Amino acid sequence: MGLGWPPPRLGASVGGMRSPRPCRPGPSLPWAAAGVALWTLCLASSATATSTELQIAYQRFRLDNGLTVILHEDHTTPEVAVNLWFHVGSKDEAPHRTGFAHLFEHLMFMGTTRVPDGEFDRIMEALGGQNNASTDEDRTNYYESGPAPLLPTLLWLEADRLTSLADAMTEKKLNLQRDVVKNERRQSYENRPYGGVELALVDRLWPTGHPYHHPVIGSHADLTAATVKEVQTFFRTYYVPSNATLVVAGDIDPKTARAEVERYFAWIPPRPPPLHLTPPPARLAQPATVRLQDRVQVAQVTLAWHAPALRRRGAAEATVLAAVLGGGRSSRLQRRLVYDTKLASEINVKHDTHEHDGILEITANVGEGHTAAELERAIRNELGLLALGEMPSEREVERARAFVERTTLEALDGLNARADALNEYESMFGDPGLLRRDHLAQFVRVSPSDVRWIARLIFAEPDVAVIVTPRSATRAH
Amino acid sequence: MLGPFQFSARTTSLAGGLKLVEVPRSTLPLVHVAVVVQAGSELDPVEMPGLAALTARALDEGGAGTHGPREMGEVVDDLGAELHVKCLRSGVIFDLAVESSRLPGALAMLGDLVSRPRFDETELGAIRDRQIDDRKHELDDPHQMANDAMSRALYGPHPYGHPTLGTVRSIAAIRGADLRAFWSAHYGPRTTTVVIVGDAGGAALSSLVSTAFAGWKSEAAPPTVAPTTLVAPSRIILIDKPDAPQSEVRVGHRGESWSSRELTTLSMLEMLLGGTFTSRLVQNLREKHGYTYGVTAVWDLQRAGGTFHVGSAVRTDVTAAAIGEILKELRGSLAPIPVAELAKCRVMMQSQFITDWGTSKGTAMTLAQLAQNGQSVELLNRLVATSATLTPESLATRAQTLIRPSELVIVVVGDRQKIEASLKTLALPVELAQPVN
Repeated sequence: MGLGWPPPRLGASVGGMRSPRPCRPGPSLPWAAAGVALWTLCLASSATATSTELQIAYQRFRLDNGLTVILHEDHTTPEVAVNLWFHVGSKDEAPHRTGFAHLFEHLMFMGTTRVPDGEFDRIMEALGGQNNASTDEDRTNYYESGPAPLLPTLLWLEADRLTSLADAMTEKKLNLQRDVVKNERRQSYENRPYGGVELALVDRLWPTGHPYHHPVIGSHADLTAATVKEVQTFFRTYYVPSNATLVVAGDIDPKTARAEVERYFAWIPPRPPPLHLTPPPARLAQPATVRLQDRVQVAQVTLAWHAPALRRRGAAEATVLAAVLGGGRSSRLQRRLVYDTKLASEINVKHDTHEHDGILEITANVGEGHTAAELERAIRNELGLLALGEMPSEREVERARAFVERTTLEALDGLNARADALNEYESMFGDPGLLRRDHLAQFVRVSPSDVRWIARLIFAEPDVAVIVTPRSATRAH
Repeated sequence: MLGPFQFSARTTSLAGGLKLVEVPRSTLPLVHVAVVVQAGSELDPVEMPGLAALTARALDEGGAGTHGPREMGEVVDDLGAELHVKCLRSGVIFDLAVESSRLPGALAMLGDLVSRPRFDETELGAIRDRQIDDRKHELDDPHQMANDAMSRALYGPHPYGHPTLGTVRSIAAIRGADLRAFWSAHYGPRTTTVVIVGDAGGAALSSLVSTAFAGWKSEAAPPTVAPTTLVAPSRIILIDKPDAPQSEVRVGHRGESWSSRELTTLSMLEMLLGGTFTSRLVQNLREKHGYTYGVTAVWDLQRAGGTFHVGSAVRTDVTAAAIGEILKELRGSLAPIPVAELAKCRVMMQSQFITDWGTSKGTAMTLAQLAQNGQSVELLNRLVATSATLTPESLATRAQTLIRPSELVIVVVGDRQKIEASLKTLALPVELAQPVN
């Protein structure tokens, strides 16, 4: 019952290709397929420099089984994107099972009874579909895109693995993906210059037992320990409709798309939503310094503080603060340390946000002829000036806001990027309308005194420093 | 499955031969601008690798128009932009994104930067230092080390054989006069294309771009580059990286240039071998054997040559086995493939083109790369159309001219102690080499 077999063939979808209604006729861009022309139906942004609302329209509904669905039209290309978020990430992992959520993400591609190992990708690619997934601390997302007529097939494939993956799980599949993930760890951290920094940071920023204490990739030992039974339990706990949000975006007709979603997902029985614990706020009792040696030629200093979490009070201010400090050549740290004194050859500042915590992170490469200690001192000095010295100027905060506004827009470039943003607002806040109303607007409000306020709040707390220095090249025998 | 689908952009010729390529799009109040100049590292004098890259960096960091270096930084920051400067072999791309209302300012800034550079002498030392620093980072990275070694093996002293950033020593020797001379010789309206993708807010782009580059006089002409005559014997080149948990592996030989008649063929082979998840190398090395997280097969096209290679980072203890599987798949691609598999390659190539075209950045970068190499967006349409004419038999016949197992050069950057013995079982001479510095 439910899904049926085989998956829908092209042309068998409910409804056909829709005809275009150009919102803004322009110079002809002869994209002849399915009458797609140059337009962006009702997505045209009439934004001027002062408008801060994003014209990203959507429709939203919820199935009886708890699955929330968002539909978003965009006819820029004749493509459709399916974007599914599960509210589970590395923060939900059991002790000694770090890396599990991400390993599980890999396993989602390993096949079901109806769509055995490898068929998922074969079906999709035979029809021009692409797919991928990602895992972080808080959520796991699966996304596909392809020609618009492929939508029913994409939905069918997602519904199939959502409902029957656990039944077809085997030791062999688990072993294989374990190896792939271990290779990913080697490539992304162990064999990469400065790859140990991120691992050291999470280890020290949060205490043992805190959900954010371990890296998403997990440890080799814990990956080895995972069992098939645990995979099945994890699946049945977290991969349930009430813990998921689905966005369908692109060259769609909302009525047809809705009917297709209901056809493939409405039959899925409800299951109780999993418990999501809110971890206690983490505060460092004292600063920590980690010293690493690596096969690098240039030393590197990384300093990190706890900062506001995703969309919490102070988050927008912290993001603008990061731009005041490091966004562009005339930012505080770049101007003083890279271009004036050359203590650093490169500096990056970012405000990273998770669901329950955030990090303000400064990474700087040491300039020729200088030491890590000098650079660290100079950075702290600049932070002190910002927090306790003269109020930041209106101009520099304006620049920082322009920087953040631009990066925010860039991050929304593309169908899947917008689908993902809608999904984040739905999944984390239950309100995709926030994307339109406040995603840009949150930064416009930030003033110089706000920047100083958040700088004082953040930098008053202890930090974690990770210093990487070059190791000598002789091999230990 | 995919209907006829045309990629299109509007091209305008402006004063002096400057080209403007536009794709209007209004999903977001954002514009991507890429200024592409045919002044890449292929034009480095043999004794001065890194000159093209340093010149591009000096344009970025040495002041322009009426602005000194610090002021230029402020101009860019006032736009909320971040200028990226990427020097490649066949050209330099200066690109940024701005909120739509800031486009006129962005174009004016880029016009200054590219056509009125100041080469501020007081900044030159620092500019060189930062390039040296970047090169040092490349030297730490086994991925880059493997690429550099392959380029050197296939091209030797030819400009395609040296690192685009140059070497630590060669960068240090470049002087201000060298930068000015390189800029004069290679930067000009005839070698420059401006690509604009996104919501220009109704601005008259031709007029804005013409104004930004007004009065630009230069002798610079589209480059010609001589091909190499180096003979590259088939062998394994091993560069020691003690204690490496993975080996960076490259298996390849000299490839095709942009003027090749086999662009469709090689695009299909890229898809077949490593371009999608169900590709042969990905399924073999990753999904079947768990040797690696990823593997690619690429024809890196250049103006007067190119490189074909398969690349992967594989677990140290399976280095030789992984190479064996790569060789097997390369030989396998020379026989006729199933019709369905060829159809998949076609539809996936088109699908990837479309997805890329769906982001303003992707569109801008694609157009920039095409412009750099004397191509237009029509190439995408041609590749899609021609791929429909290939059969498994014709693909196999053409593949044999493109993949030549007897010429393969294999580069391995990995733990010599652990892998040297097993590499010798591959029946090719093993040559120990130092990294390209």
